[in-house]
Amino acid sequence: MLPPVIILGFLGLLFGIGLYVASRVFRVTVDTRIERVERALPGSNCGACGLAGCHGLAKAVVHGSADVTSCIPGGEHVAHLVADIMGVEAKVAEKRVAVLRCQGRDVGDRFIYEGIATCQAANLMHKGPKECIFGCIGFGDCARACSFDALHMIKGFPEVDEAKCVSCAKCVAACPKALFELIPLSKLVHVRCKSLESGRAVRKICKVGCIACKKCETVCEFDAVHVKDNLAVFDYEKCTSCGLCVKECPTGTIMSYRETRKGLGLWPVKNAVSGES
Amino acid sequence: MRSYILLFISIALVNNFILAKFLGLCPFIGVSKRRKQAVGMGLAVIFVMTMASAVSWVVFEFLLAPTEHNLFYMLMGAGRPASDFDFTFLTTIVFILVIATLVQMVEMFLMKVIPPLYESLGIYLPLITTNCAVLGVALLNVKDFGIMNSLSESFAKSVLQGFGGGVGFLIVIFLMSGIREKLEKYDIPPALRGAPLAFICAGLMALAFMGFAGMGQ
Amino acid sequence: MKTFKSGGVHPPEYKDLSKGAALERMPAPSVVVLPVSQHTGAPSRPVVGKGDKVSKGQVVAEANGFVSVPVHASVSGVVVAVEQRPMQNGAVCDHIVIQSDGLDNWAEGTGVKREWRDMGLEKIRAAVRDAGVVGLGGAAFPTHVKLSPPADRPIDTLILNGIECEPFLTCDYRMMLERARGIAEGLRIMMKALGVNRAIVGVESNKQDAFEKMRDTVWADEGVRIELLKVKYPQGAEKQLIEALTGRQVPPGRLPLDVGVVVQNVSTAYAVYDAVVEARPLVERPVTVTGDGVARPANLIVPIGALIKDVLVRQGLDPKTKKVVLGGPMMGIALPNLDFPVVKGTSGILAFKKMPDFMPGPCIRCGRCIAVCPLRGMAAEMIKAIEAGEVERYEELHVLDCMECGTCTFECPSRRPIVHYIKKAKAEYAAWKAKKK
Repeated sequence: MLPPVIILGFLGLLFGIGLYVASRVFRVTVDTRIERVERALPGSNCGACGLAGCHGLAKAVVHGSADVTSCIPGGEHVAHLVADIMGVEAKVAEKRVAVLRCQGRDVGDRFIYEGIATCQAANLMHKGPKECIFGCIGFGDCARACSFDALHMIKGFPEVDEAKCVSCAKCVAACPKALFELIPLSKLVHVRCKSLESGRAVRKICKVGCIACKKCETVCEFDAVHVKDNLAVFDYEKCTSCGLCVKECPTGTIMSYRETRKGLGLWPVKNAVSGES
Repeated sequence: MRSYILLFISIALVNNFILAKFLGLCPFIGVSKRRKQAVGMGLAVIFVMTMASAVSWVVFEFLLAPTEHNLFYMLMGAGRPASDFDFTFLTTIVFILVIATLVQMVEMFLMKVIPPLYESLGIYLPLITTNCAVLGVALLNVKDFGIMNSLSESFAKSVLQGFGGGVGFLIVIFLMSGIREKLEKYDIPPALRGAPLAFICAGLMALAFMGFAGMGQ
Repeated sequence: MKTFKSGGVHPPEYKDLSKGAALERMPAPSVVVLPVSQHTGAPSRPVVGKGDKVSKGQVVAEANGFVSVPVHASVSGVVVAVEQRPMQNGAVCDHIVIQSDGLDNWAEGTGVKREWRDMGLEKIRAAVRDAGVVGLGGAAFPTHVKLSPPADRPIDTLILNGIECEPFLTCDYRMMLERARGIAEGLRIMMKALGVNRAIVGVESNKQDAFEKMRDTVWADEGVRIELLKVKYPQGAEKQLIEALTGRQVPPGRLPLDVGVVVQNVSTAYAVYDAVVEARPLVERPVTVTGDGVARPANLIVPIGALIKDVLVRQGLDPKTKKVVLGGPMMGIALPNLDFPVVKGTSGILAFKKMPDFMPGPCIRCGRCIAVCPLRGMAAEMIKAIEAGEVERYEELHVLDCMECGTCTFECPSRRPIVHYIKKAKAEYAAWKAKKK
């Protein structure tokens, strides 16, 4: 009876002391904030912050090399959580969404393309098979890049689900024609074309492309639209989303997102913390 | 000398812990997705198995086994046969104690010295503790070399068996990680992705390793 | 018979369509379009403007730096525009559009016969550069640069490439048959410029008569050897040719001059002769026009800048033509329309009516692409990484060293567009590298 008790007792004591010694020798100070910040982050490891996943961002935030608002998909909610853990104020920038600067669903093909069915590969061949060399090729590289289910190919043309978009910028990088732009939600009016061709050339291949008629420039009271290189370009600093140019545009190239965003509950934009609009 | 070489080959290849004895499958499937991780895990297991074999041998020979050099027999056994001092029923719990301590120390060492490996192994590092392969090798040593005439030979063979078991584990987990790294990129039916296909591959590897049967003793 | 050791395929030759057609000079078309970027290196700078009158052989764009050559007018007439247009490779550059006056008046100073043996090395190289000579085998690398190796890289062998391994093409073959004297003279000039006394001319064994013609034109005591090589694609690729003829291997990322060799195409040799001896700039080049989409396949001497449309119509373009390829079928570029010009690197224009009907399938891991790669590359592995988008691994997998010869694509039983994947990967890598900086 006694020996087993001694054996186990002695061994337990010996190993206990050994472990204690080892824990002093191999002491590592861990900042518990890293784990707490990591738990507050969305955990999708999308890489939008530019760092190696959510753990990477947590480490950077605690070490001070990243701002508490760095997680774009997390948005305001996550920024506040992280700021609380770090004990600082969160200055949140306005939420942005991806806007597709093209409406050319019905643009035809210049040639029969027989290569790999991705936009990046097709763009290598004489700037893509579409008649408009600035517009959407339609093989869906953008939809494949989106990890938030916010981009879908409907009948061969991308549609942004603005409710789900977290402006991680993956679609911006994926599109070889650079057709996506991240624009604050409060800006409701956009030019959905990027063609620099003359109006006549555009008219021949696309019914909704910008023909540089300058009606928008003429009617704008805020000096926010200008036609440069055959394309209407917005100055978002000056634009108030009044929508006058939308009514004037003869081809429907300039679109207002007011109704769709109202319907989705995204507009008017509520900004709780910063008080800026 | 020859018996040592044969012992090493036997435990590393012929009676490989994973592919012949089917022990240690949890870290095998869990950590074989990347080659670097697999190598790290394999090296950790070699260390734990060797140290565990050594320490558990000492504890077994001098505290648990009913032999002449049992400490209790030497202290209290005047007049009684050595077989009275048979505490081998404590083997399991004592071995677990030994192994748990060793693994804890390995964890602490890794966390301080190689943090990336520590983080990438994650939960699988403490799982070496409850890993049947490590307890298995300790118990196997007891079975094969527990009661022997030469103490030093018994010790040497036990440690070698532990080391060889670890090497065998490293070989197989590294091979598996090489296969799985490439498998990742293929079009695998969703139902088979990940562990299911890994098990099928492991089964095929086990078949291949059966080719070693008959080598040595 | 000598050949290169690794890989290679044997595509059907189809050379019978145009083998027998003797070289025919195409008369000046009504319009020529001259891109300023027809060569590897910095694009040239236009020196004429709208309304300027030009003579044939006059410089219309000057060289821009050392690795650059001037561009000359290939007809006499009036410049109607200098405008940006897309090129064959998709990029955009200035194009000089000239309306021909039908007179073909040569510029002053051209056509004056010179004795090259009296000319010093610098004068020879300057003559080659001022004539705008570039490699006519397809790469269009400025020849004077190749003829001016740096002092720390001695050259001991000049190889003349008379292989023409691409199916359908026969212009180099006809050049060797009909203009062997000019080619031989060009060879001698290049040997002098490089300071070598050893040269090898390589000809594939399907051109026995060209081989004999060349052999009878160059004398053995000049240090020149003519060799017959086994027919295998891509024997005409620089590195494969060097390996087959000298046994030397050029490591990936390095040049032939790193193993002491310079390789030139036979048509380039002729252009060098023309430039140095006849003082004629590069304004025309041999082009094979063939395929089932032309009624009269031919080997034409085409003025640089002639529109593909004009060349094909002249040879009887079938309106049912579905595809037009510039170059050979293995490495050539398919065109979206026929408004592109013939440039210095255009060796062939192929018109096809019948198109094979297949869809690419998945990779079946047969490994044939790896077996046939002449550079010992592992196409199947590269494609797996490219499909997964693993840009960091492209360099170690040697995706960047691929010469896009098309051997793997030709061999693939699943008809996968392997070279297209490689092109996409190279573009991806360039963008990724630029972003990293």
